Amino acid sequence: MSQTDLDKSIEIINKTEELADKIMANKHELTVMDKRRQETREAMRLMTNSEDKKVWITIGSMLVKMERKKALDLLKKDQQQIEQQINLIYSDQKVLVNKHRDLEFKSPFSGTHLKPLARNEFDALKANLPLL
Amino acid sequence: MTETEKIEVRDVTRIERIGAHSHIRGLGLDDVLEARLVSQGMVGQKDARRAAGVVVQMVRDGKIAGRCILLAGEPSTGKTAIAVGMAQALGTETPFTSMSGSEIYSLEMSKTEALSQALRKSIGVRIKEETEIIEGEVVEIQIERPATGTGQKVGKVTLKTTEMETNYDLGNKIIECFMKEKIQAGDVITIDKASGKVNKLGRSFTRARDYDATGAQTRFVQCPEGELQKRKEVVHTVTLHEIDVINSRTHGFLALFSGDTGEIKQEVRDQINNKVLEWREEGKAEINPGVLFIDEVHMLDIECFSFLNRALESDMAPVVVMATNRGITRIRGTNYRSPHGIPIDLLDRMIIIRTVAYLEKEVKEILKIRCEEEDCIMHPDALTILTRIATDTSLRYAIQLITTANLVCRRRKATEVNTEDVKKVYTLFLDENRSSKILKEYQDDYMFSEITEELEQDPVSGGGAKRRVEAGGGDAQPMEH
Repeated sequence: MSQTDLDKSIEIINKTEELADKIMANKHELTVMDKRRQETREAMRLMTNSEDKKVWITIGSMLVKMERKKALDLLKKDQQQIEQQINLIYSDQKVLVNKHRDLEFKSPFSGTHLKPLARNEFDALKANLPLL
Repeated sequence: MTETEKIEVRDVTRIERIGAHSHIRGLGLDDVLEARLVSQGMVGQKDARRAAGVVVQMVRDGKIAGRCILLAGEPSTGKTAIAVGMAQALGTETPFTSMSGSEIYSLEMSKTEALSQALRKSIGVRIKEETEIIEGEVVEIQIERPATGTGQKVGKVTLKTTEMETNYDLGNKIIECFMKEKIQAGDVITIDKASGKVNKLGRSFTRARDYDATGAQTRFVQCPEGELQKRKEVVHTVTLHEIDVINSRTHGFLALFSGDTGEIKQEVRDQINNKVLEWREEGKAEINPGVLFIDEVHMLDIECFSFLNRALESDMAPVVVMATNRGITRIRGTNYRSPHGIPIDLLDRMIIIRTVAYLEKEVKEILKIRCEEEDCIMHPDALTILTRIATDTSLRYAIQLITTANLVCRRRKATEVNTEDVKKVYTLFLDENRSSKILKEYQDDYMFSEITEELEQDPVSGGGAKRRVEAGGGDAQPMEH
């Protein structure tokens, strides 16, 4: 193999491995985010069910006792932020995977840029086409 | 879970029958669309294969919707084989509908309706379904029933994956789902967040040793990985015909299976077109025109050709590939003759790919591939004799001899077909030439024989069709060079 062929191969391998690393990191990130989301949800549940006026809540590494309502609001805001992050990671993932396929000279996944159908539209189709 | 069950059934019952073209896996082209001599089941016929490769590339790019391609050539020159190769090369994503010209003459619907349905079956619409699902292994379930008979049940379920664990409070309805599916600790389940449906995927491997005996239906699956709440996006391709059928009657899907769809009104089709275009504007759907392959297209009559002229100009039209082996023939429905039995104005819109007769070494390769496909080991001398037979009579006759010679060879308890077997089946089974010669000699002994005297002077040429008075209309002459 001539020098340029070798160089080209190394370059391609570099790029694909870089992208692949990013994709795997995103996957891990999703798991971490989902963990936080579930914990926040559990906490919100417990708080709405409890009767105390004031609850203990951890902010950073501090334990703080504050009013239930305020604590719930804090958690809700947290929850929204986490959802936004997760949506961002999902869209990033799609772009990265298509870029990766492009580098490997494969055609991109079809239908990635499609918007999903509304729930009732899809249910109507599914009810009539059992193979869907 | 019903969906995975369905998918399993489909895989298991996919028995591939050995058909005349089942050895073809693609067009056998390399990266620059040059045809390799023997590849993917296709042999020789380089120009036609290259042309077909260019067409496949254009269909993939979406650039020739509504165009027409004609594969014309003598009988046994690989026209249907090239069409099958194109279908394989396009893959499962692009809709490929294959039909024969005579199929449109059905008593249940008019010819133009049959053609419209075939055209709509070849246009795919890509849509996406997005759901959030919770997938995990059940660690424990706690259900509390109120002591006072009636009342709401409350419950708690703990789900885990390999990396995280959490618990959910359950409401009454979902507790009923759980109890209906008989979910216990150790089961791997999915819960659809939007609809609240619960599906059991199976039992976790780690709990396989819990009991000494489990039911016959128990399936073991791995504990899910990653996050508990996932977003699932699935891209489906439906054809326009399927959507038409749904909208043309209430129990549409039954009609789809029984094949009896009846006529679909044009208003319904227009509504569907508008809806699909609307979806396309909103970015919710993609139109994916496929290929409609009409074999024996000379059987279509003048009405169908006029209909096709117009239908191909609509903006939702697939690529139509036609194949015929007729030369200058009468167009069905008229008394006029024209090349291939197709009116000249339609011929003008087509790109024509020519297939030529195979050379002897190509015939040998094809026979070798068919021997492999039909599980028959042949001695090289037997193969040479078979090739001679193929060039003297016809390729199809020689292919028929392969399986028959294989059976004769097995009867004498050998594994390899040799020249004796081939000679034996050659004497047992007649080809078209010998059969017609015998008919001419003994015509008086056959019933209803009306062969006239003038046929005595007609030369018997390999691959040529004969004019028979008793056969009725339909002239057929060998392809003119």
